[in-house]
Amino acid sequence: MTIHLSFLLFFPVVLATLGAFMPRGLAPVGLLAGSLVSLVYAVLLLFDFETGTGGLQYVTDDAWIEELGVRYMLGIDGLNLWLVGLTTLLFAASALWITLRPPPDRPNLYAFHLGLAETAVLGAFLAQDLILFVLFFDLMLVPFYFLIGQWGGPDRVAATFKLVVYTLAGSLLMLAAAVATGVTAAADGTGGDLTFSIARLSEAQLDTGPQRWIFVAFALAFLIKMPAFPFHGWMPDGYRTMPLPVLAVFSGVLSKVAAYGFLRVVLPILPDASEDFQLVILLLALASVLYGSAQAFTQTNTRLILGYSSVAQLGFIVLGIFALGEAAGAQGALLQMVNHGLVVAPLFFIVALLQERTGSEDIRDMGGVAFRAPVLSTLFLIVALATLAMPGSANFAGEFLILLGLFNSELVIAIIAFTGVAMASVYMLRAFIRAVHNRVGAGVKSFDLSVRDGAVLVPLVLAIVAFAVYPQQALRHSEATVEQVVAAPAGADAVAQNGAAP
Amino acid sequence: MIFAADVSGPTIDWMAISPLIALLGGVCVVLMTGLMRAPFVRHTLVALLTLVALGVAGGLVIATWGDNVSVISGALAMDDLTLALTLIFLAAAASCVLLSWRAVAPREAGHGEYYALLLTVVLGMVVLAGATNLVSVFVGYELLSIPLYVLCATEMRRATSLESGLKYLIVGSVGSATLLYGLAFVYGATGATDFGAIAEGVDAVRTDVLLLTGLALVIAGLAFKASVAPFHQWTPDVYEGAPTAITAFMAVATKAAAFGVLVRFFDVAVIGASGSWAPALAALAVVTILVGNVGAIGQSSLKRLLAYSSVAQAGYMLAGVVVTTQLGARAVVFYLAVYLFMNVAAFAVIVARERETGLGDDISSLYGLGADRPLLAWPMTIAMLSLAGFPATAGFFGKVYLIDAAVANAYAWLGVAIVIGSAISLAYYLRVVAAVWMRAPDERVVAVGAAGAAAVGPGAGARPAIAGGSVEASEDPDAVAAEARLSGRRLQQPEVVGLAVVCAAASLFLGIYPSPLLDLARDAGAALTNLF
Amino acid sequence: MRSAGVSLETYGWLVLAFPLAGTVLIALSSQLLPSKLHGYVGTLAIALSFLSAIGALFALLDLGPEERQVVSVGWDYANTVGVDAQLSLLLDPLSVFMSLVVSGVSTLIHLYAVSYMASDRGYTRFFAYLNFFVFSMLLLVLAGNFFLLIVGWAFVGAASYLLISFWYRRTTATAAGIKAFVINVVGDVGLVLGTYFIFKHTGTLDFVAAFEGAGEFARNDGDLVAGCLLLLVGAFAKSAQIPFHTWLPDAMEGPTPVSALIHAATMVTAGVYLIARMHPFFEQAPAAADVGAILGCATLLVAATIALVVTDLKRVIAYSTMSQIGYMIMGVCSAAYSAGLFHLMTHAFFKALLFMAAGSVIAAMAGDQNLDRMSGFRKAMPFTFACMAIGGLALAGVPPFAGFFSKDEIISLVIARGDWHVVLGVLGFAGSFLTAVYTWRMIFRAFYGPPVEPALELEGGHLHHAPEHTNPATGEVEDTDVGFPGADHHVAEREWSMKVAMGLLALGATVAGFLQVPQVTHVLHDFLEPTFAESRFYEALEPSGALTLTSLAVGALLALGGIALAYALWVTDEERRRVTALRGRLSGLHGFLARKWYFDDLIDTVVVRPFAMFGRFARDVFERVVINGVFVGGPSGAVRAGSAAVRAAQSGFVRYYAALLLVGVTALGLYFLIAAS
Repeated sequence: MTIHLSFLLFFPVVLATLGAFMPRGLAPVGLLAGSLVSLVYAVLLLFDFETGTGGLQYVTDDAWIEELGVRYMLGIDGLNLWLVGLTTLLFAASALWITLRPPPDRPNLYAFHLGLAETAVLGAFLAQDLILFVLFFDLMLVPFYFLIGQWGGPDRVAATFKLVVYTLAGSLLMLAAAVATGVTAAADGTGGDLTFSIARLSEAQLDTGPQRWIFVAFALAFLIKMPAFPFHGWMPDGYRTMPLPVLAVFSGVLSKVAAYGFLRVVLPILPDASEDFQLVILLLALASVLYGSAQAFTQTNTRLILGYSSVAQLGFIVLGIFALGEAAGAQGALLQMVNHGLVVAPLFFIVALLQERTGSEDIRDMGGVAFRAPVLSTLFLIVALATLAMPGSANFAGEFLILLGLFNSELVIAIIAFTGVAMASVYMLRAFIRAVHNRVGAGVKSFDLSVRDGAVLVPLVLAIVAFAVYPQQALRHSEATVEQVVAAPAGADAVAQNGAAP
Repeated sequence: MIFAADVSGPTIDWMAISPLIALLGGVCVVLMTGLMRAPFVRHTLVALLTLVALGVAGGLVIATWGDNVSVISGALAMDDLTLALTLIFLAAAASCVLLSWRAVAPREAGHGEYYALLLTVVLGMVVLAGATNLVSVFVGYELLSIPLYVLCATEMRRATSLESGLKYLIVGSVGSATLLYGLAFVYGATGATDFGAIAEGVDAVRTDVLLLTGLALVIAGLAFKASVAPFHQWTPDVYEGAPTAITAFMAVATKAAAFGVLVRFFDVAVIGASGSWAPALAALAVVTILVGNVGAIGQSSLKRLLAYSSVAQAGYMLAGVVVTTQLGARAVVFYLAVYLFMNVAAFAVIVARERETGLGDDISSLYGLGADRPLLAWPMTIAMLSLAGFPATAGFFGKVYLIDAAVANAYAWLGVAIVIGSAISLAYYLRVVAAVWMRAPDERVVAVGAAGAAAVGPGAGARPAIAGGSVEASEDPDAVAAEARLSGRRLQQPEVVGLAVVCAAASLFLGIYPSPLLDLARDAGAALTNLF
Repeated sequence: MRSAGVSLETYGWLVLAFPLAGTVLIALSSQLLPSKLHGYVGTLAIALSFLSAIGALFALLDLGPEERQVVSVGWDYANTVGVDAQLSLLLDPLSVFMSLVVSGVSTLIHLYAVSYMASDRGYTRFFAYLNFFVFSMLLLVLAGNFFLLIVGWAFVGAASYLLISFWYRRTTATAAGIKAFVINVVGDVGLVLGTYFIFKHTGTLDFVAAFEGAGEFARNDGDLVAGCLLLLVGAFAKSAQIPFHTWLPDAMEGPTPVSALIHAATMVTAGVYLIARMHPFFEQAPAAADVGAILGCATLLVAATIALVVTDLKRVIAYSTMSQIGYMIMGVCSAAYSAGLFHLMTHAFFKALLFMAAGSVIAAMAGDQNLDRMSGFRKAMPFTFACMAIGGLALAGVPPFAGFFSKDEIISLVIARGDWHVVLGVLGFAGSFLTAVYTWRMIFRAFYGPPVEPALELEGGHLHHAPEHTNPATGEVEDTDVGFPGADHHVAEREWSMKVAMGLLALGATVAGFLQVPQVTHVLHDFLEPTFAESRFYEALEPSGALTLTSLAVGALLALGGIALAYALWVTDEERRRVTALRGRLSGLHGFLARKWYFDDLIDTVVVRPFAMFGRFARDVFERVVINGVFVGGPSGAVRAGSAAVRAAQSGFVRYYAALLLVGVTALGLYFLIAAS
């Protein structure tokens, strides 16, 4: 079966644009249609994908800008297959949400921006040309800038400004780094001709000198986007004011693009630098885990609790990625990216529903919602348990692999990281109990899920459960590619590792 | 041509200089027609004729594309670099004509004079861009500058317009003087005025004090025209004061001309001494990037804001000159072309809003644009994003190209400087976008008090002593717009909106498929045969 | 012959399938079926699971002793890059024995709950949780590899959380729930880390393969000891052993059947099972095993002493549970595997029985659990009293009741280990004396003496009702109808299902001991033999006849002595002057015990507060000063300063511009001249 990734990639924005010219009511429908088409494509991919070969599949590779050696190159392999699936799923959910509860003000524009966002994110995941990747990576911010700035909550303008400038500052550095990568490689690696094909670049061995500063630029861009401690300054303001359906996808997929960037770009192209900076990155990630968790069980705004918990979760993912030479770590990280996306998006929808019932997003004003909302609180419970990586959830499988990989490469850091696991249970249960248990909060009107909300929430929860029962599929798809990627930076010390642990 | 038989004049490649001739012809025709009194002639025909002249010149440019000949005994190179830049000049001038169509300035200065001066400036620019001889450099420089001084002052009822013209004149003359000195020193050091000869001679005197002093002065003089810090200070004031149409023209064309001659002089004539001047230019580039970008922050006048942004952009482009490679030259030309579209789009919107709201070019004039004027909102948005170098806009590849050129010649740190500059620039470009989409007109109340006062100048402004000029000076030029404002009726100015939309579309298209422009840039760069 | 043609593996999966099916069915039909039905659905599911376990037992016995170890793989779970995490069951005597105990006791407790919880609003939810718990527990004991073990381990923790905070409107209940959950997660972490240490060397998560690899470890190999200690962390958190015990008393916030099931019969014994299951590693790492034995012994004493002073009826039993599990841990850590598991089983019977009886009394008290307000229920509740007495005798270890044989077998085997283990054994005897005292203190105080108001009411044939529902822990009024089980309460005397459940358990508590009469019968020991086939001690460790007899005698005497003392203190002298006098004289000690040896306070100051403080510091200070101050404010501040400077230079006066132009020119000129020279 031949699947043209370009369709998958551009359907959302195209249909959303058409939708934007339809009468007000119909506006989100275009977006919904687009995102559903992409979702179908992604599901087809999951079934059609050929396991066992680490290489790219469904490659689209056309000349685009010879002058700059930039090619329009898309491809699917073990790294991005499931992330593409996740992206399409979450955007479809969000599209459905705003179709069922359209924003009062200019829904057409809203839908258009969301469609553009989906295309941009998909592009970042699919791009196999470094410049194309950077292009989509930066493009992602534009629609979110407008979405937050026009449909956000209080002081949205300041928040969105901070968010975009902070994160784009990082990404722009990455632009310079990306260009430098290609040019330097052309100068001494790939035999003269300028190319930005990630695959070709990872063959070209850059000197450690350029590798180092290029690594720093990339790492900054990714760590800011995730965000990781201490570069999360933009996160609280942004999360506080973002419209929740937007926040669901923002927190669900954008952070993953950054983590994915490490696997797709940094490890293969900058192996030596990754070696040199391993400890630094690991320590930052560890700090993210501890700091994020500590914040998550101190904050009282549900959005921030989830925001900081994401900081911690992304910290785990980075820990797994930078357990260099340990396939288990990278596998776990990849699995965890999908998991985290799957749990955090429904959580934000649930926040919206809780807000509806308690008139607040602060757990101090909530409580006792479970009384007349058994279904809602059951779904909440399932998602919460998955979020705290309850064994039996796919999240645990991910964390288990991550920490196993880390355990084999950096024992001490792994052991410290485990405190994050324990803390996760504290902050998630705290949020759950304070929201739906305990005495009924003042001004809480407890009523159960409407069909409209169930249509969005239930499929996501079912996806979580299905994934919990059988994560093997995802792992099997990614195994071959991950082993290739991990083999790249492992270099000398991977051999030592294997020697130590036969 | 009866004398052709017995007089053996110099062989002149008429075809090659035909664009110049077309422009010159245009000047005369426009000036003459401008003298007729019929309103239709003045208001419409003159402008049309100007457009025709520009169009003809453009056609001739395309006709002579790729000839790469040197004319007037080596004083002028009508090669693809010149022609490419000429196209930019012509496009900028054409946009200027469209923006001036209903503007105050031509009416006050007299249509004929106004458009004739505009054409003259273009003529000067072509000469400057093509100059391969110290003398023609200076001729072009002055031919460009003097009419421009006048044009800046053409809104003679607005004090700030006159002020800007005067300022430009004074500071400009200092610049010209500096340049002239520099050229003289260079001549003194190398004993040649022709670039080719200088290039040969320069190696011998690479460390000669005379040459180096000359270079310093030349850099200063040209930096002044290109508004490179610290020689940029006239820019904000002049940009703000001059009629917006002229500002748009200056921002694009003047810069293009200045960079044309910069590339030619430094990458051809004194390439031999690059060891000594490249670091200086690189330093200037960094300073310019920083000054321009931080300066633009917190400006509430859009024209001032764009003035500083143009300073910053000059810094980016300077990086392309420093690297002394064809790649660099190409990057500069490409960026200039891109810069044309995004800047004109922005200025077109400003012009439109100046006429619709009483707020002049204050940023608050854009409030609520996204809600009720999508056709103006989107062009402004795209222009700003493109200037900031967002992906999927032309500006993105402009930056990529420049960084590419910088990194390729071991100037990676200049590339980093460029991106840091763009990071800072987000602060003010996004502020404009936010004004368009995220602010409601009612948030304006405070702003009106401040900006409104400045803006009502044209309507009720005190007439400066030197008022007079054209015969229609008496009729209130702003009546139409003012009346439209009061009645809240939307002003009909299709040519302005259209221009904005077209330019925005262009910068969007080039952001997705830049290859055509890249080819043009490649030919232009190829003209500099001495570079690899 | 194969039993009914159904294979052992099928039985294994069926044991798991029924409770899970029960959970799902109840959950999905919660709105559809009448809630009364759900009780029976739940009970039936567990009963079927119990039957399947019996089927598994026979299927196992059909196999030859050496092949009584069957691994059944369901499907790959996370089987990648050398990590072989599968859904596999290990069916061997140990797992079958455990599933028999778990499903058996659970069936009875479900039956009890059918009546006991009848009028609770959350009736349906309760049975869904209860079934889920049983499923998790069975998953834990049947798991065939570390990964699945951890899954079951955590599920049990989650189920216990759900049931502890079952009455979720009580802040005390939710607090107890999160406490239990978090401490259990700490246990999970220990378990996972321990797994890593072992996996690092054996390279497999599968039990059978890993156990084979155990022999390759050097004795007391560093990694192995570390791994075993971490496994102990997991075991102790689950089994409420020092220092991870603080959650168990609070867990009494849950409904009484929950206390009976989870916090007496099944969940808390998981640690014992784990150590027995991991014996190949522990025998290679004696250092770790010894630590376990010592801590177990410590726990049994500490808990017993606290149980002496606690006045909450359920908490007395809870502490006694801790103490009894201390015995089991001490046993299995000293390689007295069959004895430990034997005590696990008998304990399951009599402790569940005690809790049920307690529940009945509490019902009669309309939810009040305070011993100080109970007295003289003997006449009012003869059946309950009988059960309580049988349970008490078994717990105290009075012959011929079950506890007598199982406990003494542990002690004698520990002594038989020789050298310093003897000390543990002796302390074990001290513990059994205390056990007898606190058990009968509880019984005497509740059932003897002058009848209190509710008792008299009950004798009058009317069940006492409190004017309003209050939280027994805090006395605050329940805010709604999710509080103590519903409007009316249910005592054993009036409910057949409670009678049946308690009766059967009483029977078990009485006769179960005869499975293992020292020197006479070794039913359990022989049955479990295949599991411990390669153990160094299993056969070797055998107390001499003399030792056995003396320990039996000593145990019996201590038990009776303890009961006698309790009688003397709390029955003979009516106003209980002696006790008050005693308390007065030992006020310091009493306070110390009443404060539960200050464990809660310690953990609070050492762990909880620092984390909370760190969190607040991060939120209130660090975020503002560093994250927003340095990382955001720094750059933006610099830019703002720059822009201010530039705008300041933009004076608007031409002369300044010209001046700066000249400055620039001069600067350039100078640069070039310097460059030239």
